[in-house]
Amino acid sequence: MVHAAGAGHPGGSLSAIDLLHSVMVGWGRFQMEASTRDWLVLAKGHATPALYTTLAELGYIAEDELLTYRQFGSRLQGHPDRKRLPAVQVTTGHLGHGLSIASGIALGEKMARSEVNIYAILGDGDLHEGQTWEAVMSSSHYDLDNLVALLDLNQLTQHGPVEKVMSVDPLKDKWQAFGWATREINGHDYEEILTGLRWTSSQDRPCALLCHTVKGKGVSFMEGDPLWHSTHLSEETLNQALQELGES
Amino acid sequence: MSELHAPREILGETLAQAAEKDPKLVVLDADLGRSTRLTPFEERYPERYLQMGVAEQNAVGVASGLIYAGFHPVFVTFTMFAIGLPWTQLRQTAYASLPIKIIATHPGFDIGPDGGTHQMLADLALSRVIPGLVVLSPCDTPETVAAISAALESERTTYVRVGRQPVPDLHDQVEVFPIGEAEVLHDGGEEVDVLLVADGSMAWTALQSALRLEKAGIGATVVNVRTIKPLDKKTLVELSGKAEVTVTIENHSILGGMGGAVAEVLGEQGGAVIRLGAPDVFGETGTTDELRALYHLDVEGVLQSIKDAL
Repeated sequence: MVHAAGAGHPGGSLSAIDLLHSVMVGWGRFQMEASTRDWLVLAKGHATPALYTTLAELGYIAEDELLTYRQFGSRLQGHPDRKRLPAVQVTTGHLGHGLSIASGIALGEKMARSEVNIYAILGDGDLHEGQTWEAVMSSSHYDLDNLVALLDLNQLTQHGPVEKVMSVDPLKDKWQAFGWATREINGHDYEEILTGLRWTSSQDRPCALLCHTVKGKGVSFMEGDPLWHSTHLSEETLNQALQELGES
Repeated sequence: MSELHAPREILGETLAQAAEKDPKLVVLDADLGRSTRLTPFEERYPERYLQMGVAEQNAVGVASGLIYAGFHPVFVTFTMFAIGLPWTQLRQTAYASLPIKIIATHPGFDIGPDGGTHQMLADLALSRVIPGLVVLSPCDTPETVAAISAALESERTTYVRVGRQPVPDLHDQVEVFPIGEAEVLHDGGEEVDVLLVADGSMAWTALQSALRLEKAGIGATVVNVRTIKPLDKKTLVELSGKAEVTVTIENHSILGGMGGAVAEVLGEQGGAVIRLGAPDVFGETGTTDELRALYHLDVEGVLQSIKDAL
């Protein structure tokens, strides 16, 4: 997709793909036939390649359409847009907004006494935005035990390592101090992710899964390189990446 | 007409009455509910009064989320904190076509003694540039009640600017607030010297000015714009064509606000507009009346500006 588009965010998409897949395919109620659906809020909206491929796997989008990503006239906008693509439940884009929106949905679902869960996937950049911490505060104030934040901690923002750009540690202590239940997991290990999600359903507070991930996961030349935050894939790098991912 | 009322006084009661009919209506406050007069709502519907604390960006985001969950959220605070502070969040909400409602008080110089830090003279400019956002600026208490009802019934993201400055009721009762339609408050006849265009509390200033002008032999028509966006272009073009000069009067910067919107429309038709409002400055501490006098927005100042123009 990123190759066809000539641009995009491959690194952050590969760090989030296992989380998205686990939540939407392996755990939550996101199937087309589901009578009640959970909510997925992709706070790190630039990881659309990961979202769109997951939606394709669930049958909401044809695989051919994935190649229209970021193209003029496409439903697959650079950031998730529910008006263009109804399969996108929540329009997101700017870092920092997502958890507030997820918190509002969770508050509404709780007021309606539904049993729907809300999953928000945040990136390191979301944690730099003050609004995210406002949402962390209000979510525990309103006891939103139907809300799960999955923190995709690939430790790299666009300019470099998070600890150099703007340190966010100690993250676990911060979320706990705000009243959230926390658990650390490997964000690329399906069993650990599913165990973590199972654990969230037994908590009486909003939950944060601190998911340790690798930017560009699965592609040797992308892993750990912030330049792959938003870089075009040439024909040569595309073929090498697909070979490493076993998709040739 | 002599008794003065601050339109903000009816906010809590109006929303409480709306909540009787709409079980999905919820109100979000950012710790200013006493100043925005939300107490009647809080007392009657405590479970639907969502206190968000002093965190306006989150409040707009949460309001957006509540739309997804099927509720009808109304965020109420001061204009500075409703439009200025969470502008990006509001823009994203409109981008997603989520019909949250923003009702904000203390516009422009209405918050006078708090000083220039809190005087919001840019909210009309900031809000009307957002695609799809509806911007209402009612001129008195009956019209404010109707504007809130119209906003709540609308399926679009809507901002209602509510005055704190006391003004007389210029209407006995307003049954329906027709979004997108201006109102002729005073008809000076087929050919007039001046067309006065105003919104919010400045409609009263415009009306007083027109009556004084007529005593001096200068014919004037007064238009209450009511809706800043979508602007009633047809009425404005038609009426300005009958006047020697068109003058806008607003409790806002002359840059980008109501006057700017009118100038854009009439400019395309070849017309000229004189915009009265705050010049390109920040405000300072003073009573609302003192600040209006400073910037020639009291009746005397408006009259002088019109006479200079003629």
